[in-house]
Amino acid sequence: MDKFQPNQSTTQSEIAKPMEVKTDLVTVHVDGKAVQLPKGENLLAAILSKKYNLPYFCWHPSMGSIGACRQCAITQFTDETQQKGRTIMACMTPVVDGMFLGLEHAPAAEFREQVIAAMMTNHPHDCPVCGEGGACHLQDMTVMTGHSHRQYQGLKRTFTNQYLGPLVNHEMNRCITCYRCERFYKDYAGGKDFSACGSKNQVYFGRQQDGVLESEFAGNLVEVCPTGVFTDKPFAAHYTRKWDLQSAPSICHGCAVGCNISVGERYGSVRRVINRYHNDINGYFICDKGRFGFAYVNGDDRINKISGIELATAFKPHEFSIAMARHNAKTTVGIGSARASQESNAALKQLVGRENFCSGLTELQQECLRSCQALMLQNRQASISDIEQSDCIIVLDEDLTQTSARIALAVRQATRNAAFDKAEQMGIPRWQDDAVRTAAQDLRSDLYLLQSKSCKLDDVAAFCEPMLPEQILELARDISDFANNPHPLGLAQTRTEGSHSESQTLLSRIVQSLQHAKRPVIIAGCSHWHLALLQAVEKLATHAPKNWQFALLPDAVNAMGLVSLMDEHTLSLEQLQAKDLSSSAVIAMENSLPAWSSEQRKQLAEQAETLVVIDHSRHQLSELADIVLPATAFTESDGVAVNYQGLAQPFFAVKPQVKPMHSSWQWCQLLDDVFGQGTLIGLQKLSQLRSYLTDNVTGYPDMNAMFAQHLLFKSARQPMRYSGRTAMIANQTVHEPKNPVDSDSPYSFSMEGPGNDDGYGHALPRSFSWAPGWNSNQSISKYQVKVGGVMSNRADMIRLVGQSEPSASRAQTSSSAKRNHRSQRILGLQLRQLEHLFANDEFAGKIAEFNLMAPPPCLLINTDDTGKFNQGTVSHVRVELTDNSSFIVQLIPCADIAKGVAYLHHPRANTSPLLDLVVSISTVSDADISAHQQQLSENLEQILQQKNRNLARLQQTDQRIPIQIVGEGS
Amino acid sequence: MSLATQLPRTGEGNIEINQLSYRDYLSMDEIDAIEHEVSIMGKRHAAGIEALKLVQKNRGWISDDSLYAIAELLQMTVSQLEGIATFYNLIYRQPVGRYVIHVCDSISCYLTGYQAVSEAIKAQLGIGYGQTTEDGMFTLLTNACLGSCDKAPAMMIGEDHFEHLTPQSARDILQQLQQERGKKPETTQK
Repeated sequence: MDKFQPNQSTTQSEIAKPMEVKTDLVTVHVDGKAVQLPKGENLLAAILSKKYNLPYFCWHPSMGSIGACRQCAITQFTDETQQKGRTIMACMTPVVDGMFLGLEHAPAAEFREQVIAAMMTNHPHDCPVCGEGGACHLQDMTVMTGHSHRQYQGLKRTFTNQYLGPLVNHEMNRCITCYRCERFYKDYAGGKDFSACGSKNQVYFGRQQDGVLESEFAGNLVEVCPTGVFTDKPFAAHYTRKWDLQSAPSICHGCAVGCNISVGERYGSVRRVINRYHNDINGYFICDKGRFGFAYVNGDDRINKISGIELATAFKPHEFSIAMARHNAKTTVGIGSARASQESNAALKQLVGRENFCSGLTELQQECLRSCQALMLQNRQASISDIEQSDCIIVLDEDLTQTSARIALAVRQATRNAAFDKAEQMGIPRWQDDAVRTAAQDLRSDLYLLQSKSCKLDDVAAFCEPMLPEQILELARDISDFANNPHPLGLAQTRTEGSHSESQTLLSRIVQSLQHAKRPVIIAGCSHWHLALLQAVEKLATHAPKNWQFALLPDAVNAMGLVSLMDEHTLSLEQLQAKDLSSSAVIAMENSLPAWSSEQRKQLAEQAETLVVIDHSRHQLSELADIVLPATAFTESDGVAVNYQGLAQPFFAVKPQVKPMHSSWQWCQLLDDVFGQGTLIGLQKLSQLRSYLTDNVTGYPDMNAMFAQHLLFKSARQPMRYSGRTAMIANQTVHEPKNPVDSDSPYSFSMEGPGNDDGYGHALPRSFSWAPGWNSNQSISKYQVKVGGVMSNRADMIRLVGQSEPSASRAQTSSSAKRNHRSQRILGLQLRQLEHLFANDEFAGKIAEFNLMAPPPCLLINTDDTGKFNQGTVSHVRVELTDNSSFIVQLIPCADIAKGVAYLHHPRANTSPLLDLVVSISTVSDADISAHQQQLSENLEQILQQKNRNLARLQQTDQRIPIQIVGEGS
Repeated sequence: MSLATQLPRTGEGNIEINQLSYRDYLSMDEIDAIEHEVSIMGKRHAAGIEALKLVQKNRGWISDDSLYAIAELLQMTVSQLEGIATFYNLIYRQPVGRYVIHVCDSISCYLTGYQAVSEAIKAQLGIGYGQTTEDGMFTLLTNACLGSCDKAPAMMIGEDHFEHLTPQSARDILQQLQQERGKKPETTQK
C-alpha cells in the first residue's frame, strides 16, 4: 500500500541540532534597562537579537566577527553608576554577566557617527545612479548614526573598476573596506580568484585582472556588500528601485534543494531574484543559478497564445471547452513533469486517471528517484544545516558544485567543524572568525570526494583523487558492508591486511572516519543517473547507525513531489512508447521530454490522435503539438514544490496572469470538462482544488491547515512606498484600474496589507524584507527570533515523510531498466555528460548570460587518453550520432579526470539523451575546425545580439509607462 | 586550479592568461633561492614575501609574469600573491627607476619641513609622485613613516636613509646620484 501518510507534526525543529548548545542567559544592562542575553555570544549579535538598532558593517551572522569596520562601538561602563566607561566594539566582545552598556551614551554614539564620516570621505555621492540606493545598508547606517552634514572638503580616492563577467557589476569607488566581500568569496565560498589588494586608503577588492568571477556563488556579493560595490548586472540593465518592486516569496526552480527566494517584478517583467532567508535551507546565500536563472520567464521563447484551436480574442472557458470537444479522444494520457508544481501534477493525474498518468521519466530515472524517495520517506535526508554541522562527509559520484551548488557550499562549511572544535578547546568563541581560522590553519573535518573528475571542493577534501564510476560503486558497497557488519573495524582491518591496494587503504580510511564521526553525511545525486550507486546508498541507509544522515539529490525542483504521485499504474516513458496511442489524446504538461530523442518525440506526435502541450516556453514538442496551451512560469503561478528532503514548500506568483496564460493546474481543470470525469470542475479557487487533491489524490500532501492559516490575512506584495500606482498607465487611460484580485494566495497585488508588520503571528512567508530604518535585506534580523536563527513567524513545514512503502511495482520495473547508469562507451572511454551549473538545464540555454558563462562544446579527457585520438595530435573531434547528424567538440585534456572516462558537453544534451545517441568519435579536418570556430564566434555574436534584443524588448514594454528609470551599466 | 574545474567560457570573459611555466621564466638561481626560503617556512605560501623580494632584487620590479611564476612555484593562487604584493609598499608592481626615492610624508616630517623638501625634489627631478624620470634613473614615491621621527624630515633611496633633510641637502643628494649616471648604464626591464 503506498498510501501517503504525510506527517504534519514533523517540523524541522524536531530534528536534533547537536551543535546548537544551550547557552546560559545572563543579565546585561543596556542603556539602564536589564535584558537577558546569551552568555558568551558576541554583544552585537545579542543586542541585534533584542531588536535594538546598532549599526554595523563587517559582521555577518554567517561569517562571524572580525572587528574591521569599527562601526558597532558602544560604551561599557565600569559600574552601575554608568558614569565612567570605555568604548568597545560590540562584535568583538563576549556577553558577560552583569555588564553595563551604553548604546546611546554620547561618546560611543559620536564615535559611530565619525566612523561614518570617515567612510564618507571617500564614498561617492552617486546614490541616485547607484543600484544599491534605497536598499543600501550604508545609507541606513548613515542615517542611523545621524551623520547628516558633510565635513570633508577634499578629493576622494578613485579606482579603476574591473569587468567581472556578465552577472556582477563592480564599482570600487563606493567601497567602505569592510572586507565582507573577500571574507565571503574566499573564506566562506572558497573562491580562488578574488582578494583584497593594496593597503591604507587604497584597499582594492577584486580579481588579479579583469575576468569572469569563477565562483558559483559570486552573485551573493551583491547582497553581502553593504553598499553598491557589487551589484546585480542583469538587474541593473533593466532596473527598478526596491521600493518600486512588487515582490513575492518563491522557491528556486533551479534544482531540488528548494532554496527560498524573493522575486521582484515591475511593469510586467520580472526584474530580479534575491535570497529569502530560511534558517534550515539556504540561510543567507543562494547560488548564481538561483539568482540569475529566472531570466527565461522574460524571454523571447515564452508561449503566450493558444494555438491549434480557434477562439475569440477574449478567453472564455465555455468557448474553450467547445473548441476542445472537437479533439476529444477515447482515452487521454497525461505526461507529468518534475518541474511542474505538485498541484499541476496531481490535477493532471486526477484528470486522466491513474492508469493513464505518465511520469514523463524513463524507467532508469524513475528508479533513481525512488531511491531518493526511499530515504526521504525514512526521514534520513539531511537538511543543509545538518550538512553544515556534519563532521564527516562522503560525496559519491556527484559534482555538487555544478548540480546542487547550495549543498556544495554547506559541505565546504562542514569541513570547518574540526576547526570550531579546536577553537572551543582553546577557549576561542565560534564567532571570532579570524582567530578561529588562525588557530585552525589547515585543520579540516573529513571530506571524501569519490568522483571521476576533480571539482571545486577539492581544496578542502581529505581525498579527491579521480576514480572510475565502477570503483566508486565498489567503495559504496564496501561502506555498506561495513555498516552492516557487527564488527566493523575488524572488517576494515582484515581487508587491508590481505591486500594493500589503494582502494582498500582508502576504504579503511573512510571507515575509520565514519566510526569516529558523530554526524556523518553521505551524499549522492542523480546527475549521471547512476542507479546502482543510488541503490547501494539506499541499502547502506537501511542498516547504517541512526546518527548517519544522507542526501540523495534528485535533479529537478519537484522531482520528489512527482515521484510521490507515482503508483503501480504510472507509466514510464518506455511504457508510454509501447502503448497504442492511435485513439488517445496525449497531454504533455510542462515537459519537453528531454529524455527522448527528437525522433521519439516526432513519433509521439504522429501516433497520438491529439497532442496537447501545456508549457510556458517553446520547445520541439510544442512545435509538434496539435494544440498548445500557454502555461504560467513559476513567477506567475502559485504552487507547491517538494524538495529532496520531502519539504513541501509553497511558492507564490509575483505578478498577475496575463490571459490566456493559465497555471497548468487551471488548464487541467479546464480540460477536465472535456477529457476527464469532470471532478475538477467547480474547484475554481486554488484552495478548493487543494483540499480536493488532499482528499482524492494519493501523494498530494495535506497542507490545508497551513494554507488556511495563510489566508487569514491578505499581505502586501508592494512596499508602502510603491510609486506610480495611479500614474503607471496614465498615458493610456486616466482612470485608475482596479487592482488585480488574487483569490488564490494570501498576497494582494497592492501595498495594502500587513506585509511588513510582525504583529499578526500568522505564519506567512515575507514577500520582501523591510523594517523601519532598515531598507536593505539586513532588515531580516528584525524578523528572526535571534540573528541567524529561526524566523519569528516561521511556518510549520510540511514534510512528505512517513512509513509508506515505495510503490509495489518497484521490483518489476527495476529489472526492466535497461542500464543502471547513463553513460556510453566509445573508443574504450566511458562517456559521461559534463555537469555545469550554467549549462545543464533546458532553460539555461534561453538565458544569454548563462550562454556566455557556459563552456563551448567540448570533450574532457585524461591527458593519458589523448593517444586514443589520432596519436594525441588533434585539438577537435567530431561526435557522430545515430540520426546521422554530428557536431564538433574541442578536445580538452586534463590531468584530473579518471583515466578511461570522458566528459562530453554540448547544448544538445539539454534537449535529448545525447549519450545514448553517440555512435562514434572521428577526426576532423583543419577546414572543419576553422568552420567550427567561425560558427562559435557567430553563435557568440548571436548570443550578444539576443541579449540586447531582449533588453530592448523589455524596455519597450516599459515605454507605455511614462516613468523612465535608468540604472547603471547595461 | 585545474582545467577540469576552470573550463573556458563561451563568452570568452576570461582574458587568456599566457601562463608560462615558472621553470621557463625564473632563473635556476631564483628558484633555488626561493626554495631555500620555502625550506625555512612551514608552508610554501609563507615564502611569498621573500620570493617577491628575491625576484624584485634581480629584475627591479614584479611584472605580471613574475607574479604568475612565483604563485605557481609556491602553489598559491595569483590573487592571493597579488594581495601580498600590493600590500607592501616596497614591492613594486610597475617598472621603477634605478633609484626609488621614498619621501616620508607622515606627521613628524610634515611638521618639520616635508613640504619644502618635497618641492625641492620634484623640481630637481622634474617629476611628481608616482612618476619615473625619463632617463629611468629615479622613481619618486611617498612613504608613510620611515621610523625616523626624531630625525625628521627623512627619505629613503634604495636601502639608504637620509635624515634631517633640508631642500638643499635633498638637492645635493640627488645631484650626486645624477652624476653617477654615466658610470653605470641603466637596464630597467620593461
